[in-house]
Amino acid sequence: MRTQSPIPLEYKLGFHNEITYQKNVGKGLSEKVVREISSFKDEPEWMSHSRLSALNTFRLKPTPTWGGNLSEIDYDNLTYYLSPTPHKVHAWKDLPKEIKQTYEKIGIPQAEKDFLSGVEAQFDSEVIYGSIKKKLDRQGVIFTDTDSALKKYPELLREYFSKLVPPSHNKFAALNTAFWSGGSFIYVPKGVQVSLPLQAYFRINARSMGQFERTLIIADEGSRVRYVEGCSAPIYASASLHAAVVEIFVKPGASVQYTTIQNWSSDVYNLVTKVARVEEDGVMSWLDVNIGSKLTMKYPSCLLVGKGAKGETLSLAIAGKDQHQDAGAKMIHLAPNTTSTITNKSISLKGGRTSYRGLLQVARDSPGSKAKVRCDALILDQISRSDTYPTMKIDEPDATVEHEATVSKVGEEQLFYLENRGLSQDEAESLIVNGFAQPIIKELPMEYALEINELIRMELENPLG
Amino acid sequence: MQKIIFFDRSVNSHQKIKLRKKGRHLEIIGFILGQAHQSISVSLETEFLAPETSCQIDFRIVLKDSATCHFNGRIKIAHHASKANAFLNAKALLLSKNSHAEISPFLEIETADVTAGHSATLGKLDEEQIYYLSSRGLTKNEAENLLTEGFLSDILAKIKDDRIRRVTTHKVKRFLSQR
Repeated sequence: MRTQSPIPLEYKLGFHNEITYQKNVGKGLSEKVVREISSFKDEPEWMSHSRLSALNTFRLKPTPTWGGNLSEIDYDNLTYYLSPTPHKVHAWKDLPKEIKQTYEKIGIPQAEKDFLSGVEAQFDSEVIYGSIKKKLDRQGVIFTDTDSALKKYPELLREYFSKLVPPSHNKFAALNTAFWSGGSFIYVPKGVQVSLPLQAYFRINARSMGQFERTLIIADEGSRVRYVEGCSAPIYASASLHAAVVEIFVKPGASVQYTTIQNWSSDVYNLVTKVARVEEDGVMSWLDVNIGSKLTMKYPSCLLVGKGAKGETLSLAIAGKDQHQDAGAKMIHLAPNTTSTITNKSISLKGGRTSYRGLLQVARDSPGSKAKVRCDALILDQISRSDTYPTMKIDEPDATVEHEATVSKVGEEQLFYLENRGLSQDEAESLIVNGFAQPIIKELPMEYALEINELIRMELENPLG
Repeated sequence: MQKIIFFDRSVNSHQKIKLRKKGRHLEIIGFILGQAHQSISVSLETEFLAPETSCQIDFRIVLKDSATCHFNGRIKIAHHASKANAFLNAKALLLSKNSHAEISPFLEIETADVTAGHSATLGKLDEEQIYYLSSRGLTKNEAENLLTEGFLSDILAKIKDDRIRRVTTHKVKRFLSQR
């Protein structure tokens, strides 16, 4: 299998090629595996130490029971995958029928089909990538994968690595800190505005879909960057547990937008920790779309530590048959005049379950803080479920906090009106559901928006799930 | 049918209400008034177990001094409770830097054919209104008391039973005058 990675170019001959010959490091997540990974990657001692210490924390922490059902995860039988791609199969014919049909229907070009079916290791975009990389280099922007960053910029990485999400944050952050591999590392210098969303030109990056990616983004003062990860096409993954960690540092006056579209196959546990620290007058915007996986637990957070800092989370969750999307956001106001908004839309159908889980905290001495949460849920049939679990913790009297949530079904009157105008019941329902999700979908890069609209339409059309 | 819930001292309260009969309608009006070092913890669970049931819940929380409040309002609508209608509204006012409020309105809905929602707001007294009243000769304290009474007046007015409304109004005034 060809494993040339387009980023970073200088790594073509390095570590990446060697991985393919190492099939697996055995079952179970043990110290032996951690040591092998670290020595294989030739890491500095502090990183090996960090991994081992995190493994210990992982073992000590109990599995949480307050969210989705995690009781069936068999930690002893998890396999660590060193492969650079997450794919289970390597030929189009071996893909499950539903996945092939989805690719056909949402109109994926052949090159992407090759990647998605594991035939190709990555989407070949050398030409486009080359000229963009030159521009980024001129601006002083660092955009590489985390493994490379550890080798090329060790002091910079060490300054930020695990500072927002230490192993103690939660059991799966500890797991990630022990076994992390891949993920992106981005540093934007002071005042630099990165005009193109990073990864937009390369929609499918194998490294960003690994089992335990670790992503770090540092936006220095006054800079601006947007990052897009994921894929709206379903990914038939080998690993059944994905525990990624994303840490973002928004320095004074900087602005970062992070967009994720998740559509893992329906046997995957997707347990992600995402935290951003926003300094004075900084802006952090999370855009989170969850369509796939068996269970997703993900609560993008903003720590608003500087005055005037702003945090925003826009999220869309769709849960179909046998799926549970347990997602939301956390906004923590720790300084005066900070603002946050959370807009969450969820759709559950065919027995699926969506749960919005959020925390809005305004600490003492954060006068002038304003926070607003709006959650809307659509349940499409009698067998599905929708939950809303928001918590507000307030210690500052001079703050304004608003939270609103509604749960409803597709309105009879709306359906009647559309059917009157000649649409079939399916078409009418599809239009209404799409309209419901539009405030979130319209914020996505266009090609994703088109695909997701199509996915929603397909999901509604297929009565058997 | 109306149920009035009133807490003005430290308490750890857990209440479960089950709407078992078809067409059952309930209105719940709640007051949580905390002062000094009181700790008021209220957990209210409303379960909809029959079709066409409805429940409107409206809470007001006012905290002075170092009072703390934990309020959890859970609405559960079962799969067979079609055409159920549920709404919870919680409004909180913190009058001191040392008070702490934790509000968690939860919704668990297992069927599509319902209307359910909740809203929770936390605010402060309007500075302009305090200034206006002060310029009319009220002390700052008197102004704040008047405005806080205004904050509670809309749900006081909703109480249907005359005697209960009188008693509740009296308790509210007593809370406000204690400074």
